[in-house]
Amino acid sequence: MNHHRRPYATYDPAISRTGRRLLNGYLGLVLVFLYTPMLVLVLFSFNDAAIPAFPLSGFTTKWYSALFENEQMIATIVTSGTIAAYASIVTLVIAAFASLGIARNRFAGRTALYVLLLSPMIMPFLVMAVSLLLFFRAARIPLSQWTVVAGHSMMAMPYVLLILVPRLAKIDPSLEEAAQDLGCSRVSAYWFVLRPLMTPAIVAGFFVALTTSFDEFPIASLVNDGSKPTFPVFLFGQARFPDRLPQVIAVATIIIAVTLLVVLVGGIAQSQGIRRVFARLRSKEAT
Amino acid sequence: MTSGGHVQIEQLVKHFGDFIAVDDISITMPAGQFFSLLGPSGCGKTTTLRMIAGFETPTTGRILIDGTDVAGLTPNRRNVNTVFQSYALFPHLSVFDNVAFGLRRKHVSRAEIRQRVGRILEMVELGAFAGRRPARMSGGQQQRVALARALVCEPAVLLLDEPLGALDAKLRKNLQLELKTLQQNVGITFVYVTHDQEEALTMSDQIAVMNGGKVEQIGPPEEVYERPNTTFVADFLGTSNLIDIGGQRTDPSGTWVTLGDQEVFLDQPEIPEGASRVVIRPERVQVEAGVSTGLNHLVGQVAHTVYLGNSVKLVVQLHIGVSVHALLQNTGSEIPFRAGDHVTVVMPPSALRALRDTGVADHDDSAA
Repeated sequence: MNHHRRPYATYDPAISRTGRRLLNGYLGLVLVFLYTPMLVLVLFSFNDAAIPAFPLSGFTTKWYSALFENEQMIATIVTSGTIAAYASIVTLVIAAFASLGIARNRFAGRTALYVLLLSPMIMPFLVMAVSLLLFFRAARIPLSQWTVVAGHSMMAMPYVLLILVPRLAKIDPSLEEAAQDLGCSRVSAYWFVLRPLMTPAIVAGFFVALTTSFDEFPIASLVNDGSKPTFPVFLFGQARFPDRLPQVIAVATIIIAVTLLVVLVGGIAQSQGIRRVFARLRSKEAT
Repeated sequence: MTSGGHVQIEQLVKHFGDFIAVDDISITMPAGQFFSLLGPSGCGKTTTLRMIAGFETPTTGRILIDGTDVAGLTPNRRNVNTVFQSYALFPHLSVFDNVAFGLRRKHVSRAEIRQRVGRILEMVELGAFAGRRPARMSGGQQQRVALARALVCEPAVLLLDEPLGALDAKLRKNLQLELKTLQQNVGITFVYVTHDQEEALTMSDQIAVMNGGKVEQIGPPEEVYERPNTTFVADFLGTSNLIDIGGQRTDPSGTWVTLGDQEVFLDQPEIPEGASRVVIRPERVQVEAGVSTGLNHLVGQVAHTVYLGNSVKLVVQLHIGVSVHALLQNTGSEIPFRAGDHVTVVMPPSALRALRDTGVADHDDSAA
């Protein structure tokens, strides 16, 4: 039961030397394919030329300094961050209760409900954005940052549920009974037992909601009132002016760095959860 | 440590939709006893335990602990604690924090928690493991942590749901004795749910044998084993020969029942109403070589012999048309019978009992 200890095919003694080389080469190609465009972007963000083209002209950080003086842009980043934060919190609160309902109860239509909650995932964001726009119009709800928050919560919900529900399903329900048996009310049993065990999944879910909201364009573009555009909407506008392109590139580089950081943190949180599951499996086999 | 609680179950019923899990049972569990609920999976024993713990609400009936009806109380308001079948140890907490969990919920002072947790961990011989996570312990150690976690709260009643079910046979035997000793030392009433008849017989002061949501018989181990009231009890505890009764008559000397075309005498003071079968344990069946007549002598032929190590099982086809199993102790000498031998089976009147037919358990040894 140590399969999880060998994630690399290269450790498999059944694979020949040549096979191993081929696999490593293939892995290298995939990584190049995934990351070269981003590296080019990073490179050009430090290039001393208004037009991003080879050969490179020289090293500069002026695009970055220009960026931090661009108050308009910083305002949109703040807007996007605020919307993402609100949307993530709203999504997590609703998803937490939904996952409790789905993973901890048996009722008619449980699977149907789960599928219904997940289905926004397969709907194109653009379709969702247009239908949201029509809905807000019909309901006479004025467009604002808050309608974007609502749209982003809706959009992020399935992704967060897909993280929370499987994790919750793996937690033995008798743990909550044990907590009640030892003096907890039903609610405090959630607090003392479920919450700590769910923390890695909650953190991961939060970051997933945060990043999907932060770079979402169609909803942010269509159901906002225009007074406070989000960062992606602003960025698309800027891309029309060639002289502002280097600044956009610099912003993109910063976003890559921040996203990598977030993914890393979320990944560590998740893998700790996964490690616990393995630890439990191991302890079960030991008995 | 503490004195045990007295548990009184009165006309308890539990329905799950159309399914009747517990069907009007009444049981008295005296304070300080090791009381077992024994039966096959689906007999209602775990549901009964869960109602005492507070995880299920009775459909009707009462559960009194020391005279107080607890049926409407949530689990945290009852003076009982549970050892779960899966142990349900909190994986994110160390052994110490697991055991301290109940005391912390009761806002016991830090110093007292340290002292009580330390003492109970010593008692279950896990003093050196306080800082360890449950996942890094063996099944037997986890089981003891679960026990310590429940006992440290000093409940009036400790509920145990097949706590040894997940352990291997050897460890289980050791822990049976440990559990019994522990129960006698702490004096808490133990309510022990198991489908393992040997476990129940070894540890219990009293056993309630359950089947199909009903209690078949309540009594000390030797009583339910030696003097079963129903075929189910006779069959579930150990192995039994069950033979249909053709007729029954009583004369001043006692009761005679007809097996096939032969009458046998029973040394049973009271024949249960509607008795339709007799039982005799294989170890009480006597086998004699040759054909002879006498009280409760039935002739037959050995069908086959099975060597079991400490004993030899004979399957004898009786002339009355049924076959009986007889267990002969392995005394070191050669097996005196071979397949095809004509023999006489003697059923001592004290070993025969007439029973109500409540069916037999399907002998499935897998855990419930």
